[in-house]
Amino acid sequence: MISFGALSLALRAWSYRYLALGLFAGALVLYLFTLPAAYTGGTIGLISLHYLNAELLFFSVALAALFSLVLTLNIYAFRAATRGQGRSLSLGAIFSSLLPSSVCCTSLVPSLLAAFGASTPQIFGLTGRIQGIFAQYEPLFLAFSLILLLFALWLAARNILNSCSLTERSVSLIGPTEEENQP
Amino acid sequence: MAQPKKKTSPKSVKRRSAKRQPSERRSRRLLYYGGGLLALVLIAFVVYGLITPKSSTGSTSDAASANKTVAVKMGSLAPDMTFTTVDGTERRLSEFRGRPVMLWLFASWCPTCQAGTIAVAGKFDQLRQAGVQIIQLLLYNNLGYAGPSAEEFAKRYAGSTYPSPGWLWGDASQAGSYMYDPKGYPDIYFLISKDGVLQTMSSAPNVTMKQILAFAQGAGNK
Repeated sequence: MISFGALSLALRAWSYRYLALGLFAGALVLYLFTLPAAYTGGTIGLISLHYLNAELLFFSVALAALFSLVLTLNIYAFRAATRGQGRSLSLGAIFSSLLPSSVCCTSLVPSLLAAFGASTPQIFGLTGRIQGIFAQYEPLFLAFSLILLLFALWLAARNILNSCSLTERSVSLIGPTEEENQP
Repeated sequence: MAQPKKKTSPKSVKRRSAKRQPSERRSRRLLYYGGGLLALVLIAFVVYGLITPKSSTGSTSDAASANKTVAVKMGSLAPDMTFTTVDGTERRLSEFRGRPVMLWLFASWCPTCQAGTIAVAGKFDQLRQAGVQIIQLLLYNNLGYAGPSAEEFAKRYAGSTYPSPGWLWGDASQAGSYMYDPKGYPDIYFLISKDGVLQTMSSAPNVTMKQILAFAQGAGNK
């Protein structure tokens, strides 16, 4: 309910609606191309769309929608001279949502291990354990990202609604400005 | 004498509201501790990798030779390696000299390998007609993570092409895995000419299928 209140406040202006739509479109394109990267060995291109299934499509739309709303609320909060919240959570959500597809079945983990001086038996022992977890539990990572974004949305919304009432109160305590005082 | 009233511009209100709250200080502290912990873990990892004796714990000649992380070189003869087919027969790569070979090392938990196998199954007729022998081998110990066996994987993803003499499935030896894939990539394949010369090394056959088909059609099949 808090989120709906803050969203209706922020999206009253057409500029914020366009902003949210634009952010949603951009984020959706990003997720549609990057989430299937686990099936293409990290290659991102039109071929990625071939490996979109119902699950990845759902997560792409949901993550893009939440991300655009969180960012819109934070920009609204910034312009309303209040402190936005949930930015680090949003970043964490983006990171955890893109981690499985970028790590699994690419050369990233083995190359990093080799760069750190691991021997072949050590690489063989660790690569599978690390990448296998991302391969097996990718839906959990994506679900976790959704939860992070939902929490970030709630935090940003709560802050906006609380700040609106606080700002009015603090203005009344401080008193009118000099310009307002002038006859 | 009355003190002049302080100007209360929107900027001062903004400045006051921008002061760090305790919760923000706490989250910054958490960020620093988290970053520090991550750095410690990475350093520990590097130290562990550097100080641990780089010798295999096994005692077979396979394990001993695995320490020589010989990277295969394109344009040179493909080093011989042993592997065990799904029916338990031990074979050698050199037995297939005289035929173009696609040697594919994979991990059965890897989504790219799954998608690649489906893609290769779709083009199997073309590859078989060109005389290409596909040898798809599970990497040693499945790279340390549990997953279906080579046979289960083949049945699940290779469709009606399994079993076929033109597409052998099995497990790579430890030495062979280390020799051809010292960096432990979960999906890597080699295109080897009839003369046993390594022509191409790549991964994700579903993405690089053009290269494989060109090899099959003779463009890389010297």
